[in-house]
Amino acid sequence: MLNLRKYSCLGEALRGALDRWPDEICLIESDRDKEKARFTYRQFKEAAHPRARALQDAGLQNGSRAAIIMTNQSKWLISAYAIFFGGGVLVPLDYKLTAAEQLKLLAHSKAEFLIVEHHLWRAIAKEQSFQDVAPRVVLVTEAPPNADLAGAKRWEEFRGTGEPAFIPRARQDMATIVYSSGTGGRPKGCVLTHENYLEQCAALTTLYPFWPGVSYLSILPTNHAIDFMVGFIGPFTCGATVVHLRTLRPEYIRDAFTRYKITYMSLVPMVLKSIERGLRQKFEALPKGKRKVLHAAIAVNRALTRRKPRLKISRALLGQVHAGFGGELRAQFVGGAFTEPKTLQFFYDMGILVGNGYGCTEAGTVITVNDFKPFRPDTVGKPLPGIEVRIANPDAEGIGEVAVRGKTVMSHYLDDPEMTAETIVDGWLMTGDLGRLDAMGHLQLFGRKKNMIVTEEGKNIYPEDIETAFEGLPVKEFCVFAANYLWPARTMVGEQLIIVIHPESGKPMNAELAAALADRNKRLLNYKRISGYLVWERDFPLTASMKVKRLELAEQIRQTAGREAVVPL
Amino acid sequence: MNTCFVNPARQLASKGAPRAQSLGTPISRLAPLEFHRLLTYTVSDETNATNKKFPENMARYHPMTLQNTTDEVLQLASIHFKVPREQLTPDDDFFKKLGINSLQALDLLTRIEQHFHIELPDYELQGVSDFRTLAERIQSRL
Repeated sequence: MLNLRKYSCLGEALRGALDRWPDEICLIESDRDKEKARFTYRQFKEAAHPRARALQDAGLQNGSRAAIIMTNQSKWLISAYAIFFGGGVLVPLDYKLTAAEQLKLLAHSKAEFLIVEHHLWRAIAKEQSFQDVAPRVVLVTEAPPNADLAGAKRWEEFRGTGEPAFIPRARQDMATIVYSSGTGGRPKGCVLTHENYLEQCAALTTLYPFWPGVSYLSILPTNHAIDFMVGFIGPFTCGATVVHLRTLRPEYIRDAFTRYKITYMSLVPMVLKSIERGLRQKFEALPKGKRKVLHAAIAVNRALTRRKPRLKISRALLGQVHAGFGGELRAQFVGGAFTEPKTLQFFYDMGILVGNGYGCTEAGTVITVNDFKPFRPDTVGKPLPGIEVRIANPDAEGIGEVAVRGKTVMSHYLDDPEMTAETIVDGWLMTGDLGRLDAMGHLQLFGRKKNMIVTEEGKNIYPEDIETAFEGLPVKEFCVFAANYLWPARTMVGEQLIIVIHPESGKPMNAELAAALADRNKRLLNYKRISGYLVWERDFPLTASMKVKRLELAEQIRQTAGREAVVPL
Repeated sequence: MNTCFVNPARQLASKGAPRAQSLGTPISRLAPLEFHRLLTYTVSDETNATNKKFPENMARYHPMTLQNTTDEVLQLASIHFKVPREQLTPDDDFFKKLGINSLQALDLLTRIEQHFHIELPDYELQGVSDFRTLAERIQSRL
């Protein structure tokens, strides 16, 4: 791999990789069972440089902000490299947000350029505000021949002539603005520097090295910090191959494993559970004799790998199971939400290593990950090299807020010094998660201190972001909370949001109002919906600027009402 | 409503291109879109909701209207997730009603693709949570 400490920015490191491994395959784009594109590092450069030049011709310069809204595909990475090469700041936005939400974040980020897939652009262009907010230059990918592009240009035809000028950036300069929340409320644009990425990448590849010939299967959205790091920067700076799969359907994931001999992949617990379910069903369907042999092999493997993984032995003992994963799989990484220890154990017993990890965008992706020395299904692993983790204000059991310090922690929240000061205290990033460090240095998580939930898909939902959906309800006031924030529970599964409603005097909560509430709830994306309401007859405590004092209100509710008072929707 | 596992168009085509009954045109002269519509004709069996077999005595052909598409989506969901058909309505939130997550919803999408002979990218499910909207997305690709 490249010695990342020698590079000052991502553009320089990626340029170094493209020159060092010109004939290795860097990127494969697969859609279901069809391979749509394949690039060597040289071809990748040949695709990216004309775009970088065209972006520069269109005004991209040192520090210009350029957003990408795309599903996982080759044009995502080509565009990102072109932006970094030209000294730009990348704003990766979630393609699953609504068009209105994307426009809000585009406006907040002050992006001058936008690269977007046609179906997403079509939705954005339908929004009334799009012309006021849309970036100056918009490039649309995969637009049909006669499509109305609403002023945008075709990415495929956007090529400059002549070599682009490489614009170096300093280590402390802004590399990306990644939104961890704020689509409804206050945007949280995490400003990550080139140093954050280069340090994180160096630390991760020390634990889990990539090299030419290694294939990484990318199914998580590249706009998320984890896939951007382990599905782009990590493999590229080691000469490895990224395989983009443009679907999450289990049958095609299985197919990709075997077709591309995948070495690593990252996934969320929901996908891992689905693979587990599929395997268990297959095992159940085996004839009794074969099933017995399989269980015996698993028992032997479990005994032999108690202290450390032994991949060769596991592959020999459970060849068919490993063949189903392509036969070359070294590890899968799971994070983003809580993973049940028994699921991790199920895979480990067969020699399929699943490294449970924990991180957040603010900490530059990964904070801790399991290193299998030895395997621990009950923790999220140890801090990465160079990252310090401490437990702030621990209780009698040693449980307190997880605080993180190191070169991977973000610089600040974009244009929000107040929130930055609340989040980074004396150089420590306060994560809002509750955890405990055990004697072996492993971190165990127990719940959340912050007012938010994480879904099984790994999506972080903040109450402030969904409150706009309930605006205009005929009530005096309302406020959304994470149920576990109001009534602390030491669990990270089945988290739910609830709405606290203060009805107008003389207009108590009735069926009509409940129906209106349900109707508005339905307008939210399914994973963002509230699960119930709590009627609160007192005035909400307000700040001088008439905003709800959430902390105070939560305390009042906690003292007088319990979970049983919540009416399910 | 039941699924047509025997493709009427192929049956007709194999008998020397006779007339497609509902369109009144020989199959060989059908425009590609019309032919595709014929391929996606369905057979209804409203009295036997969970019977997966093709009930020949109940067979009747009809074109794919949004109503038909919606009915078939409900039927497919009922079979796939083993929920009685009569408990499902077009406006139901399928995540809530079927108790499924987004990955299981993609499973349903695969089943739907096989049934309607179309390809629906994963993003077609984005922001969709009720059967009616899902049927509209399918209808636009038929």
